[in-house]
Amino acid sequence: MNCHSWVKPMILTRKMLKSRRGLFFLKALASIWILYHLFVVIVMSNGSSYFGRFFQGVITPYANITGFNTSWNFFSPDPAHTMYIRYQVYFKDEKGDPIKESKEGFFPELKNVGTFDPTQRRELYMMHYLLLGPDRMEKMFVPHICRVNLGATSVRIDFIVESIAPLDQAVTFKQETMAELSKEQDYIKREFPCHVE
Amino acid sequence: MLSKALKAWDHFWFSPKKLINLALMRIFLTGTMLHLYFLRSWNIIYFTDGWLMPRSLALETMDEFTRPLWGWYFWPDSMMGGVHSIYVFTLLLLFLGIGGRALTALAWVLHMGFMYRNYGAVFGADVIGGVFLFYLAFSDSCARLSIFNFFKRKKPLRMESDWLSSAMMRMIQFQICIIYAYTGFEKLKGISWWDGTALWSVLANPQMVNMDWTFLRHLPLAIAIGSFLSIIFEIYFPAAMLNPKGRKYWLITGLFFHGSIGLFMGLMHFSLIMLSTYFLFLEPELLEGVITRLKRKVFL
Repeated sequence: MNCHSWVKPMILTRKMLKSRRGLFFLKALASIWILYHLFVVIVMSNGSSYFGRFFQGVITPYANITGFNTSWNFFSPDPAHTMYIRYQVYFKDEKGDPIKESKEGFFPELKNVGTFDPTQRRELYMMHYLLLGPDRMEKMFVPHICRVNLGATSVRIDFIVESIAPLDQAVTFKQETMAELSKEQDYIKREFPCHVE
Repeated sequence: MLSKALKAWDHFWFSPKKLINLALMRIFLTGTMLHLYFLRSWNIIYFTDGWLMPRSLALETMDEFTRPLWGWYFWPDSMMGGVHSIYVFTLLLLFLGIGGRALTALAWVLHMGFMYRNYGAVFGADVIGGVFLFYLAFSDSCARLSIFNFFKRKKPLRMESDWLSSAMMRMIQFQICIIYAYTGFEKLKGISWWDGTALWSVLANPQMVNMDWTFLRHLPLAIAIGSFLSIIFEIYFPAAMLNPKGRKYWLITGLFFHGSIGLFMGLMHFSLIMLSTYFLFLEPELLEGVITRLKRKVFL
């Protein structure tokens, strides 16, 4: 697109803004966009509903490009329990014998501790993202851990959930600490090979 | 009848509004984002192949329903640091009231580029920051409270918005109401919110708070009241904004609500971005009065 083709519409818009008819036309265009945009914002807020599915072809391309593809579900439907990834990196030879002591790590690094640091918060959100996609762990997390641990041959992943004791339980057993009332559950528990490139 | 309806529509969306509200929102929004993304300068690796999200998978790993046609990150990963610096600089300029729609649009594109380069590392503040920056890109938010206004101007200061800025102010009002209402509705789907114990799950979760709140098990009623008040506040926010009398009480409640989230849960950026929209619900005369008093205090 040359310079001329950019400038022309701008000059035309300025002219339209000065004439009554032109302004009416621009406002009419803006009104159509406002109605469409509000429709997108309302429907995409509950995008998985029938409405969302029915109008998917008309609204999702616009919503996804503009970032209005979010459902507003802060701490809902229920607040999450404490969760993190525990991984064990193995270094083995061709026969499968360990050549180096395995290494344990956590993601996020802070494990189950809260932080004000937005950077470390991003790790927490990244962990949730990894867990929500079936192949994200294998495609993203494992290759990264293998890359940063030179010589690693496999990675074992445990997804840990430390459940928060319900309020009723916490009130009934006041003499017990929250750590004592909490239950640790392991999910995934899978070993992934490091692919040598 | 049709003529009346069109006039009402035109008045509601496009009639001039005081720019002071929009300018204050711009300062709070871009100021908060400036701080948040300045801190991100030390973690640019998150948006390169050096971390968890390879460029080739950035869009592929997103859910199909929310996957965009393009990711806005038109620049190579090797330029991430430079582009991020430009982004932070544009936020600084907007904070100072320098620039207009084009610069805000540029800031929005860069913002979206970083978001989609690693959607996994995105949190609430990024999403709502992008949403409100989008609306600002269509508005003339730098016309008031700009650093340029300190210098002698040939043209008189513009106090009222043009028709497009007016429409954007309405859109932001709608948007924040939709965010609150849906957040409340989503909570109603949760057993613990319906049960009145959800706040406990938040405050007793060490990953979500910065201090030990478990002493609240000695005050369980406070948990239940807090849980239900959160839902009521969110669901009825749109209705309260329609009522000029109830509005101020709701906004004051919102100030405490977000203040608590920011202080106790470490989500200060998120809270400030949400609060920045409150300026659009306040009387412009009140804001002008505060600004005038502030000016007097600073310059005398």
